[in-house]
Formats: sequence, structure tokens, C-alpha cells
Amino acid sequence: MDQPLNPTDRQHWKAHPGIRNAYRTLVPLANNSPWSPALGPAHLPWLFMKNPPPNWPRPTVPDVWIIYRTNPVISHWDSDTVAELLTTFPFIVAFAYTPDETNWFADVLLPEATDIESLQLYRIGGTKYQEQFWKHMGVALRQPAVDPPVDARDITWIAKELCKRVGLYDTFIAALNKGRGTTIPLKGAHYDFTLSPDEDVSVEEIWDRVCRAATMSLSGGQEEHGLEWFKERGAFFVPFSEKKWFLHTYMVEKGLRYELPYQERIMRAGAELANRLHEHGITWWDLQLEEYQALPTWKDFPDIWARIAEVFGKRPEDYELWLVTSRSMQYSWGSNVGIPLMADVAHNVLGHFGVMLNRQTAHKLGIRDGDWVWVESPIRRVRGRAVVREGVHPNVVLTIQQFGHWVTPVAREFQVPNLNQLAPLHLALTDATGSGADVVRVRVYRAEPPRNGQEAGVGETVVSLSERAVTV
Amino acid sequence: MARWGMVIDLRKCVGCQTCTIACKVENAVPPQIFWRRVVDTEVGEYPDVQRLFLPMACMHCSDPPCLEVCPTTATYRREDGIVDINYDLCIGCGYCIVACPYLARTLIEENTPYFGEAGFIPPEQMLYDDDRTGVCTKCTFCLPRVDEGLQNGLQPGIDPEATPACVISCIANAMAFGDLDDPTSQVARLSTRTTPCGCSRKWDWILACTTSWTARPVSPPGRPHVPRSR
Repeated sequence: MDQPLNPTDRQHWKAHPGIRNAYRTLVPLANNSPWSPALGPAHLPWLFMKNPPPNWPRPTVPDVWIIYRTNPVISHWDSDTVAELLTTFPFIVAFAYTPDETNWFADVLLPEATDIESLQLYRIGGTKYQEQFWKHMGVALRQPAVDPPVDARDITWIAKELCKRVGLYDTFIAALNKGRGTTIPLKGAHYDFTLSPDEDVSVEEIWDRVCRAATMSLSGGQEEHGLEWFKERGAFFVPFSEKKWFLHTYMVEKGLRYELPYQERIMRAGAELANRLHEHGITWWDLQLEEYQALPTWKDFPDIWARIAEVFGKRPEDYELWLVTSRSMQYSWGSNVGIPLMADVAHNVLGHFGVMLNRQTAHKLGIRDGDWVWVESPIRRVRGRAVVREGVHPNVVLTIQQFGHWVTPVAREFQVPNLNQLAPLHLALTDATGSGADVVRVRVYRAEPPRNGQEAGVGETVVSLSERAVTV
Repeated sequence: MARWGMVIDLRKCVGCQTCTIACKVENAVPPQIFWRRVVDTEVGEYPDVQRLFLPMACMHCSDPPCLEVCPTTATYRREDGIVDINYDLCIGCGYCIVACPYLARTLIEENTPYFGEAGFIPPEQMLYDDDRTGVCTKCTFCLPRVDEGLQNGLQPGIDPEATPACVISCIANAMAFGDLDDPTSQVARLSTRTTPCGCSRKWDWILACTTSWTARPVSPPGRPHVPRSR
């Protein structure tokens, strides 16, 4: 239940960032766990690459950039800037099951089997307060249902081979023994299925050990089942008490009380961090430091996004609508956008591939259902088809998910605006935790139809990339 | 003889379209053709507006208009209530498509693969049915699953292997399948139930069909829904 903060005292504060997003230097709230790099301000390297702020090291270009199942050219805010910066990366390696906008820049592609072509034992249930109201928890096997149609390999095989070839095989095996990547340590109180770095293990052997460790761990040493058992049975479960469904029972059991809303330590961490940063001449994080309050007061959040137009020489009042996005159940994390069946089905979702507007707002703007419209932010405009609805707030424009693809098969035909193409990348839109918000102030007006499908989803620049490089 | 039916609780449907996908995969339904789908729509005007998810498929009507207009008797109704199409007799004239009030029927002119020039992928190849070209198609209540299940001693609606794919895939247990003439079946019990707010099954009388919906409290436009006081 503990939520430790990164140290901000003079002795322990990390003055020099050890990672490009600098979460231990700038964000005490991000803690220092394996997950912390994802919680910190991951956009700072992109933002500072062209124009680093005072008294801050310019982010270096990685010698080798390895990407796995992510597509920041689509999913990162100001995706145009990300794409432009990737052209300066000397060597990019991408695990890939489909061509996409990011691995389009790669020097080496490692064809990876999809989830239905590869092997993995994964955990099911067993978590508290995550709305998994299941009376059992356990592990399940995902096994190849079909052969890969091309020469794609299981990620476990690729990782193993890479480690072998660069002399990291010992480290790879040690990591597996600790449960890295599988979440199941191969050695426990009742069992020892550890792998030896002296043997060249197969993918099946690795997962067989994981299966045995998982079942022994879950059953308290009572049951041991290998990969073959799982291939036949699919899953292994043990009871999960209903008492564990809710946070409250856990807190009672541990004798914990709900923390008071007055966060003295947050205020203290902010004050200390301010001292440290100012000692190093860093004042460009002061806006974020203001959020370290013991009891936050009202803040004019809408004004933050309204006034960003001025940074790019525009008038805030020209952008009257709030563009927001939402995740659809059909696409969720977006890694399945290349599957035509999903597109087929998603077309049944109201407004999924359009620009949704309130009916009264559309009428005021002279926009009818199905019209082509421009959605324009202070930096870019993108074309899409209007979907006139009742269930959208009159001040809001809604586009679902993140599209605007120009490489990924199937998705490149969608002709849907992507909020990320329109979202300016700027420090003023970054909060104390290093996060932003999927919100952009825009204006919407009728457009002429695009001449082709590609033209519809990609849009046009309003402020050039060089002019956008305004950091502070 | 059983009378197979499906009851869909609209209060539980969240519009995820998992049933749509399950149907397409189970029956290898070609691109842009749906034997079932969840209609996603709105009721009311801003700000008094609600979203309505309406799973739609062949309703296996007790008096099917599609059957009446079929010039070749390809469309027929089984004793157990399932309305099916004999592809050997269907000439693809499309009369039934026009006659169906639920837009549940589609003519498959050509059985095309999902991945275009890459051809049919293995799952599509496994289920490819050349008889389904140039004919009208629709939901069959997963007839092969039901019949094979019965042959193997399974009970449709109880045993997943003998139950339509859409029903067993539903993430919210919004759908039930079974014998409407069996008073102990889930579908029989659900089809006579009223909603907690006191709404009766408003649409059953309109549908007069094997499939029935359990209504949720959605107001028609201009008539705000007023929940009953507790």
C-alpha cells in the first residue's frame, strides 16, 4: 500500500537524469519501479531534442533504438514531430508483425509471430480492486492456433537468439529464472525449475518450466503440470476469495486507514524539488511545481489548453471546440488495426470512423451528417467525415481511437483524423506527473472532399515543424 | 419437439460487438456481411439522450415474411422454429431480403477473403462453403452446433458446444438460448419477466417471433423516461 516518492533532498536527489525522460529528476510522484519510466514525462526527449531548455542536457539520439509493439508515430502527441525526429535516428530495430508508421523507419525488421501463432502462459485474475469479480485465479496457455503465414518467429525465440548473439545469454537465463517477462519465478519455496545458462533451451522448454513453476506456486507445492498438460487442458485455477475482490477488506485486514486528503508530503516534496531545481538554474519546471499542493485548490484547467494557441501565434477564441478522443472496445490498444475483420465490425459502432459533433453545433456551423469537414488545431488541420449526434456535448468534437495511418494495411484506408496529429507538444501542457491529456482546442468547418483516401486521413500543416519547436 | 428461441436483455448489452465477431468467425461470414450485429443508436435529444444497443439478427419469426415470398421454397421453417435456407434451391432473387423487416438477410454474390489479394487465410479456408455463393444467407441460430450437439446428447442453451456462438461469447451474459416451450428453461423464464423498473416487454408483440428482447427503460423521443419511485 506504500506509495514511495523519489527523493528530493540534496543528498539523494538525482541531479543528472539517467534516462531520457528524467523521471527521477523531475517527477517524485513517478517512484522508481520498473514501470516508472512509463509514468514519467516520456515525451520530454522528443520535446527537448530540437530545443533543450536552459541548464538541461540535450537528449542524445540513441545509437540503436529497439521498438516492440508500439507505434508512436501514430500514438504520440504531435506525431508529425516524432516522425521527423525518427529520420535522425541512426539505427532502428523493430519487432514487427505488420508494417506500420514507426517500423517504416526501421533498418531491421524482426518478423514476430502474432498472439495466435505463438506461445505464452499468462496470469488470469487474482487482482484486487480491478473489477475482476472472479472466484478463481490462475494461469492460462496461449498456444499457436495456426502456423505463421510468413517466416515470423515467436518473441521468446527472438529474444533468446538476440541475447545469444550479443553475448547476453547468461543474463537472459538469469532474468527468466527470476520471472522477468513471465511474472513467474522458476524457483520458489516448493520447487526449483531454474534453467541453466549452459544449455541452449528451446521455446517449449522455457514455457514448460514456467508452467511447472506456476502450478507449483499456485497450488502451494501440491500440483505440478507441464506444457503438454496445459496444451490439453488450457488453464489452471485455484480459488480466489470474494473478500479479496475489494480494497476495503484488504485495508481492514492490514489495519490500514484511508489516507487523509491533506497531503503534507506532496507539498514537502514539491518544495524540496523546487529548491533542487533552482539550485541548478532550472526554472522551466516551475509551472509543474505549482501542483505540489497539500490540498489542491481550484485551477482553471480549460485555460491551459485555450491559451496554447498564443504560443503558435494564434487567437484562442478562434478554437471554440474541445476535441477529445476515446478508446473503442474493438481496438482497445490499437495493435489490431491491421485486421480487416475488426474494421468491418467497428463500422457498426456509432460514429467510430468519423468526426462526431452535436446536432445543434453542426447546424450552427452549416455541417450536415456525412459532410467532409476540417478539424483544425493551432498546428495542423485534418479532414474527416462529420457524424452528427445527440449524445455529444455541444462544445465537444469526438474522434475515436488513434488512426491517421498511412502505412499500416487496412488502417490506412480509414480516412479518420487522429487527435495526436493535432495536439501540440509543449511543456505548458505537461502536468506535475509528467503526463498530458488527450484534449485539443479546435475549430471545425466544411471541407471539400479529398482527392484520394490517403489525403483524407493525413491532413495539412498549419504551423511548420520548425516553428513548432517551442519548448518553454 | 423443442421450440428454440433466444432472449436478449438489452439492459445488459454494452455494444461491444463480440457476438458480431463470434458469429463471423463461427460461420465464416464474408467481409461487410453480417448475420448478426449490434445496432448502435441514440434515443432522445441532447441533453436528454440515451445510447441504445440493439443486437439484430434473423428473428426466426413464427410467421416469416421471407418464407412467404420465396419463389423456390428455399426458405423453410423447421419444426423446432429455426428458419433456414436450402442453398440448393435458392436462386438469389433477393425477394426475401426485401420482405425481411429486420434487414437480416444478405445476398452473397461472391465469397471474398478478408485479406484481399493474400487470399483466404487458414480459418477462412477451413469454413469455406462454395454453396454460399449467389444465394441469400442469414443467421441460422448456429444450426450445425445445435443439431450436432443434440446428436451428441448435449443440451442447446446449457452446453456451450451446442449453443449459438453469439450467446456463449457475450461478455455480459445478455443473451440466453433454449427451448421456449420448456417452462424450466432460462429463455422461457426470461421471456415472461418484467424489468426492475416495471417496464413490460414492450417490443415482443411487435416482433411476434422466436427471438425476444427484454426491454430496458429507454424513452421514445420527446417522452422522457420517469423511473418509478422506490
